[in-house]
Amino acid sequence: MAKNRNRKKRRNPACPRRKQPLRAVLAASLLFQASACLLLAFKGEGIDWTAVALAFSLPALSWFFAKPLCRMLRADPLLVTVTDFLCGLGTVLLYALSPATGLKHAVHFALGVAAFSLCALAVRRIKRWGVLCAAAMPVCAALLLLPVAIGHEINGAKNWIGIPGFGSFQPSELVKIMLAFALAQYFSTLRGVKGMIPGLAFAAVCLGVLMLQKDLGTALLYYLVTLLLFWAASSNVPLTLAGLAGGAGAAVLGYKLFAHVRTRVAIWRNPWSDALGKGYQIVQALTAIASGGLFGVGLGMGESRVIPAYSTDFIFAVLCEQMGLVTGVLVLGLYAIVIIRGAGISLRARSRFAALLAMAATAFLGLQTFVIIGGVIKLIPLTGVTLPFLSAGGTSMISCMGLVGILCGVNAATEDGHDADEQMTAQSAEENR
Amino acid sequence: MVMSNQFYGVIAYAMRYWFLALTLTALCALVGWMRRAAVIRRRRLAGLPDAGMIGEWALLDASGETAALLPAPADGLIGGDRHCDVRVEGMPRFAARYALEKDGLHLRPFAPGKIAVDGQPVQRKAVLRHGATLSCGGYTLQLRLFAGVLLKGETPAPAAGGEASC
Repeated sequence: MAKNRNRKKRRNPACPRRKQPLRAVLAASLLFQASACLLLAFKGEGIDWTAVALAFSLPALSWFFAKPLCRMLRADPLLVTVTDFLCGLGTVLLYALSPATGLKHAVHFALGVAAFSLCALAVRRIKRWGVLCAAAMPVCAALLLLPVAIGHEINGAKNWIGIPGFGSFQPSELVKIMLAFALAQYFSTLRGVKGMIPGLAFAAVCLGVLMLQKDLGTALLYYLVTLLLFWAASSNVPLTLAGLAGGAGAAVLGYKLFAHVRTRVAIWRNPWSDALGKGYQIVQALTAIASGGLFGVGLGMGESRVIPAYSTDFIFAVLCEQMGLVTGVLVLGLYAIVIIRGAGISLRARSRFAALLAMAATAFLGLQTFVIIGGVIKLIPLTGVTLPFLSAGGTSMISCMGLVGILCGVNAATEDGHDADEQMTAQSAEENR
Repeated sequence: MVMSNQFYGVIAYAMRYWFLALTLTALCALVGWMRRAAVIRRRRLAGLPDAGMIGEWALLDASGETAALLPAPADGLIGGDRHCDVRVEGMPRFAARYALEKDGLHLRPFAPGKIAVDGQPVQRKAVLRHGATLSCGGYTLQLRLFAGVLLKGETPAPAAGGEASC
């Protein structure tokens, strides 16, 4: 008995205490993905061998992302494992709804890992962002204008470009990353508000084009992030309040001018007034959330497919129906961890550019999560943005993973600085001996 | 193996607690990890009191002696306001902003001509190196960079008593 007690107390020296949380989270994530995929393999008639293959390949991709790649890029393992978990959760949820969508999401996850690596390396290696931003801004503005010229309309917004053989993509999701870099570059200038004008102008052009496309959700995100960064960079409260007032005025003007804005607000106030018409989406989402109860109806069960846009805008309602409100709240907790970690990375950054860049990335992720979940649960009027990492959509996944890559790149640069400080301190102590 | 819909429904219903447990485990492990990482980071920074700093701003009195030493971050604001990174009470609220570049500290005054660097009034921009003085509002600050901060054209000083061991 005493022998057993001693054996329990001894910790494996090969597994230092600091590695244990990573292993716990990664193990939970991999087990979640594998068991969910294996369960889904038996959903229909016969064994779904694609799901069985996914039960091995998805955890393998997750493991690769969280361990070797994270170590290679010196990425923040905490942020990577949370992102890993959310992407895996999104894949299994979407697979439960539609195997084809789930498989596509897994492929987008892999592409997202590539985008993550690119952004993390770019932040760490590229030092002269001024020239790059100046060159990229007109290109991004032109990219945003493309859907207006040649794009096709989906769900009332003309913000998609179709590429034969590849599908469609949303330029505004990719321009989001460039906007973060441009705002960080021009807002970190020493020249005060005058130096910020190119960044503000770029944001204004993007906003104008998004209003033309009627992509109000993305326009709202761009506006809020620009305002937040302006306030953080300048500490100019009067101008920030003026910007806020301008945004409020634009919202009121939009309400008076555009019928679909009035519809969204009316449905937000009382979706039951037109439950089978314009309020159908919200009513079905709320019903799904309620029918899931605390613990859900089970993965692959329920009637989530009656909700329009169930795989994109309303994936949170699907999550709550199938896995329950408790899991939904826990997933919100995971998003909160991403935001808190991103805010911490921004506060610890060693340069104004890095701090603002990390803040922009965190703001995009946080506000996007708030806007879509708020819309789904009727906290705020619904806007058409995706839930990061969970919703179907290749461009959304790539841009969100790119934003996480930015955060990891800034964190790695801060760690490099701390290492240099430690080296200098050690050298100086050695010289003083 | 063919599973009927009802049987699948029962298994899926039972496994929802499993998925909930895994999500809860992940969340709790992450929260504990964040807290532990914050403690480790605080301990690490406690051993690096000058982390993130490039040197010091020495506040000189009338006789040229050092009256106070203010840490100098790589970029920041100089002034009397409490939001300034280098705060000197009595100075104009926001006197100048600066940032470390490869060739030195690039400094831009908020108001042209209100700041002098090495006795020369600064209209738009000045570049400061180690030992440069900045005067504003009756106060004089001298920039003292740490030995490890090497600007363009500078060579590292040889270590005293031979090479330091790693």
